[in-house]
This record gives sequence, structure tokens and C-alpha cells, in this order.
Amino acid sequence: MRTNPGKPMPGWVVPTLVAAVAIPTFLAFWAGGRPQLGALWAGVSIAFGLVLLVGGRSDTIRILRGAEDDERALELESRAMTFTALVLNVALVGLFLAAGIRGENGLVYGALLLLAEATHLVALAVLNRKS
Amino acid sequence: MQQSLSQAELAKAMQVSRQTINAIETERYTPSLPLALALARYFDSTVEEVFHADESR
Repeated sequence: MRTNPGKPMPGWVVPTLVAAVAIPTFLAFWAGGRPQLGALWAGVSIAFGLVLLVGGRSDTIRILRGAEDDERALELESRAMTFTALVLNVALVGLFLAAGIRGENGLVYGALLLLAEATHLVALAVLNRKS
Repeated sequence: MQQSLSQAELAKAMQVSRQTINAIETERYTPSLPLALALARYFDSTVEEVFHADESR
């Protein structure tokens, strides 16, 4: 009987992926004519990746970068993701309503909310069928 | 649990983190059924003897 859900992810994978986002970020802003802003956001990505990489002494950071994979870590990660999704949904609803108040169409926020709700529905349906 | 056994040793035997063992001992985390059974087997005991169910539920 397994008490461990799987093999832990090497500690460098998530920090590298987070830092790697810096490249398309810079290129996108550079293409849009704002390379300095691109460099700033790329720097934020790289800094976050470095924090994940060097913060290995912290349990929280180890869970965040997938280096801890036991059942408690997975449960904590799952609950944290749920809370994050809730915060993002509330923020999107707020931004959507604010766009409406400003007389804008709120298309981006509305589309993101629809995507979030559709993803939630499909994920629940798939998980429900599987379990 | 046995006094001579460290959380790290038990964690290694159970293939979980030391923090998970600590959280179970301090009743901040309820283990899954496989882990509870593995702990009971490790101590050559039963789940009921290792864990104290909340009778009020």
C-alpha cells in the first residue's frame, strides 16, 4: 500500500519554469514598444524563480516548487490552489463590475470569468466520471 | 508512539515528510487511510489503538 503519491519533482524545475517566463515576457513587451517595462516584469519573474530556488530550507517554498510530494503537502497545495482560484475569481468579478461602471465592455474580464467557470465545470465533470 | 523513534526515522519509514509526522502527532493533520494503516502496521497495532477518533462526531 503506497503512502507516498509519487516521486518528488526535482527542486530546480518549477523555479526554472517561473524564471523562463521572463523571456516571452520581455519579448512581448519589447514587441509592443516598451522594452523597459518588459525588463522590469522579466526581472520580477526571475526574482520569484530565484526565491523558489534558494528558499529550499522553507517547507512552504519546498511545497510551492513541488519538491515535497507526500500526502499532506499535496493536500496543502490543493487547498492553497483552491483559495488562490477563489481570490482570482473575486478579483475578476470586481474588475468586471468596475469595467461596467466605467462604461467599458468588460470583455477581457468577462471572457476570463467564463473560461474559469467553464474549466471548473469540465474539471468537475471529468473528475466525477473518473472517481 | 515509541520514545526512541525520531520523527525523521518514522517519516522515512512511512515515505512522508517529517513535518507530516509532526502534524499527525500534534493532531493538526488527519492522515489518509493508507498512511493510517501503514502507521498501525509499523507499530504492530491497530488503527483504533494508534489514533483516537473524536467520539463526539
